[in-house]
Amino acid sequence: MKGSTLLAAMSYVDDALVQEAEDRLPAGKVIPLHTVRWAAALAACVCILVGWAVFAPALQNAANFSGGGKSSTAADTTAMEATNEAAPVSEESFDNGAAPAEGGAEEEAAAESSVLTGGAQAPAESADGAEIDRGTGKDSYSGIIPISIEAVRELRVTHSLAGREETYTGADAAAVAEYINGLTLTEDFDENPNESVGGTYTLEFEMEDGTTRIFYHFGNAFFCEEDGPWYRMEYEEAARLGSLLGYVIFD
Amino acid sequence: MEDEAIIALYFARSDSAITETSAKYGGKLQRLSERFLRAKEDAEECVNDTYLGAWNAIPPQKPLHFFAFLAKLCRNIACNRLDWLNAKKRSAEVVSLTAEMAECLPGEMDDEAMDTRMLGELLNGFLKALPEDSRLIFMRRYWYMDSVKEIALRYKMGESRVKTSLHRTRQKLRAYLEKEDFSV
Repeated sequence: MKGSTLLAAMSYVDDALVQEAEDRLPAGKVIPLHTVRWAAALAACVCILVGWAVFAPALQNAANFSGGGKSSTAADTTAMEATNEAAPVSEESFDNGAAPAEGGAEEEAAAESSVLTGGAQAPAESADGAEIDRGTGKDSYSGIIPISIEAVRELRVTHSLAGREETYTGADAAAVAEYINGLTLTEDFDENPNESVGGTYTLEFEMEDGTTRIFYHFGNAFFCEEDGPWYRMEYEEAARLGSLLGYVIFD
Repeated sequence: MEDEAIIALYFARSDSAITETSAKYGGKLQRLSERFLRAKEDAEECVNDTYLGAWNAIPPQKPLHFFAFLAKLCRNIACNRLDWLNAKKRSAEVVSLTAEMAECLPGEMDDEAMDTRMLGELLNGFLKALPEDSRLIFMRRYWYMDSVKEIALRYKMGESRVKTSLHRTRQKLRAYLEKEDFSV
């Protein structure tokens, strides 16, 4: 058999193949399938990397706003129990006298059902022995359970814009805890913290029993404990925290 | 005019069937036959014979791919007219193609054992198993007798890539024919 025979035999291939070779006129570059697969895989990798670079900071902020995943159930129990016995901390540890007033704010807030006072609401429920299941975590109650000031061993403070961590103990840490206990927090508000922009203080209290409680103070407007709900702060109080932390942290 | 309409003219035994066929596909068929036959007159005669073949075949045949049907007729007629024994009378392209196709042939295939039509059937199976891009390039080269440059322009690729594809496909065809030779 010769090449001419094979060439002549090509005349007997199917019409469909002949037509196909004719119809695929300038159909563009014929790209091998494996090349397409590699290109698609490469494009997917690039998209993932770019997406991560773009969204990672936003996701990190969102995580900060909604609280971390750290569990501190034992701390809650300890803190609640200790609150009833909590003694006021002297304001002498702060030269500027910025520590919040005690008692009065709590009593006023307790009179308003829509306003939760950090130092009053939770202990009242606690005394009633109501539906609060302290052993199951913070989701079962509303409001911020007061920090047991005497049980604070250490306070670590970071600010999202400062990018550094400061550690405080003793009276300084107790003063911040007292400030938090005195905050007037509103449960019902229109703004969405997750759509707001601002600096975030992360206040991490390490208690004597080794447990921790973490609070987020966001944009001088919103406050929450770890994985708890957001509360609206009064601006004057929120700003006072800033100056208080500024005195404690940066002076 | 659409292919279906032209075929309808053949069925109606209308003389305009040939006219319309010539108007639509005459140029392509002429180029195809010229690739086989050096003399332009021979190529024209080949095309006219193609029209006659179509006139005789339709009806009863009703080709699904009308151009492919005509092109096959034309190619067969051109091949039959080709003087395979006298290279001087063949076009340079056919000489080159014949040499390339000879590469595909296993060492000692018996000419008598396999007729052209049977070989065509084997080629069908081989071509259908090929990747599409390789198949298109192979068909353009060895069916339509396109040059490597023409194929490269058609598919917007480099000539070297066309040559590489053709070389690999020829190697595959050789292996395929070697394998099939034992079962024929």
